[in-house]
Amino acid sequence: MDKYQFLTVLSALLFTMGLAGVVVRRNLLVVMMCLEIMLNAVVLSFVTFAVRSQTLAGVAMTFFIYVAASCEIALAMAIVVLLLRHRCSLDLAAHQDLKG
Amino acid sequence: MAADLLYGLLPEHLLLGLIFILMLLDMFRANRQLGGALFAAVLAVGSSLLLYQLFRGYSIELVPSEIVIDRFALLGRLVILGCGLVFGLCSLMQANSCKYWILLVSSLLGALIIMDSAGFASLFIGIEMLSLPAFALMVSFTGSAGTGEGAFKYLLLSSVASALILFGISLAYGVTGSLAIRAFAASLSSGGVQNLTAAFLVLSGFFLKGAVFPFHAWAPDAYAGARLQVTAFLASLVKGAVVLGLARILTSLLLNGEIVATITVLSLASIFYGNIAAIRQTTFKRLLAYSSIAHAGYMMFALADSTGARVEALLYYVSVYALTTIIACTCFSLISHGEGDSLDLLDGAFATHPVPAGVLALAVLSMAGIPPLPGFLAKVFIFKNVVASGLLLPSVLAFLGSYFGAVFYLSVAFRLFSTAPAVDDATGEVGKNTAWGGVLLGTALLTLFTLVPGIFNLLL
Repeated sequence: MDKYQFLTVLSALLFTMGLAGVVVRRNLLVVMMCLEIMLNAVVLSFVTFAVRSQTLAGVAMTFFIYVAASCEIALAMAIVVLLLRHRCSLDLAAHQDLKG
Repeated sequence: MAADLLYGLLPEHLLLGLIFILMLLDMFRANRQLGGALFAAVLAVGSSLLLYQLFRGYSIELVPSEIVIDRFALLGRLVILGCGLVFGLCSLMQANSCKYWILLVSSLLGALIIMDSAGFASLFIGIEMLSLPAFALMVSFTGSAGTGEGAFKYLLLSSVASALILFGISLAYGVTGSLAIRAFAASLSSGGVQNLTAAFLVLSGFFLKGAVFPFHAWAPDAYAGARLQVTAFLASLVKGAVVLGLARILTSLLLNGEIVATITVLSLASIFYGNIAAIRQTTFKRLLAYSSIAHAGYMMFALADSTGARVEALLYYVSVYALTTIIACTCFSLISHGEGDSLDLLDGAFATHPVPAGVLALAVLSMAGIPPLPGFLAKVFIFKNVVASGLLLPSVLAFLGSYFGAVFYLSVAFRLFSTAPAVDDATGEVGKNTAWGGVLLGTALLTLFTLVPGIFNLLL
């Protein structure tokens, strides 16, 4: 297994881990962190492929991903503050008024 | 080149300029009616510019393999701007600040960028720009408790969808070494595990964003949490832009068997689930959410056909669906005076509010696909193309599924004309006239669609 394969597999593992975390964990902040793990796994995979193929497009993409991720986090934190004001709890189970 | 960039992307530049002007207006606390008027004016100018470019047969590759203006880009942007204009006119009546218009315009700008994109980088930027202002729209200007929860679910699921799409893109990039959609399409036709994984990741991301059946769980909560106006925006424009974005990718692909099978099965499941689950809903927004799940099924179903006509059918369906949804929401808020969204409010509404009730009845019948109305023609086009490409059994099933839809759409119409006396507390509302303008314009456009069913064929 060369280093590119290793890095690709690592990013796939990180991505799966993040996805599992988003599905399983019940704490609002931890869920957001798992989301960040997913995005970072994507960045790792982009950079790996960029180095392997010696092109710049993937590196440029990481920049956009970080911008989008920080926007998402900023909005998510604002919404978390709203939720906290309403229910004083970070547990997702406490915010289940809507029936799905 | 600079002139081309200016002219080809003029609608985007107009919206960008509008955002800056609205920010200034907001800073100087200008009259809030001004924001809405500017919005309507700029969108009208943008739409007419796109129409002009369409008739001149304008087409250019502005940034090679990233931004390409072709017929699809022009038509897609026209649909978005036209529906945005109708939506703007309809929501003028609510007391909106300039911030509302800024968020709305930013979201529309993202939708336009999706339509132009020929590469994954601009597609990703467009998708993010489309959905980020939508989260902010959901939580701002409201004191209700459910909003935060709905918005959080929407944000979370939408971000997961973005991450799935991005991972798919990165796998595709690993194969081709380029972010162009065309390069991916070329390499996908040769098969391979990495290519297929990439395609399925991107597809599932888009299905999650568009709330197609197994990925739909966020939609009812998000729609129920937001204000009716924002719900209408999410269900019509955001959903339409996501579906058209997927079409932008899929039109350049030669679909292989696995992908067609996936799309067909999921869209059928979506049609059945959405229509059946909608029957037991008691509030208008949740009804709208489930009906939008079913309609997402029809739109995805249009993508399953492998003949060339799917784009026209899809554009027709998206514009008819978006306009109908906007009109239905506006009529509902005219009937309910903005209070509550229980379906009971509709009981006997025809006696108290004959015109909005009549238009709402027509809108829901159109969504159900009752013959003379545009919703029927939209479904006919989709089924015609899908049958022509050899998927006969799925089409019959989808047709059966729409019978379930007729149940709850007809029950809404039934409520409107039932004799139960509604408690009437009609009070004069300011700015009602502009909402009527929006409904009128939307209805006129829908009538045009009915009278000239081949409109997108003519333009394309």
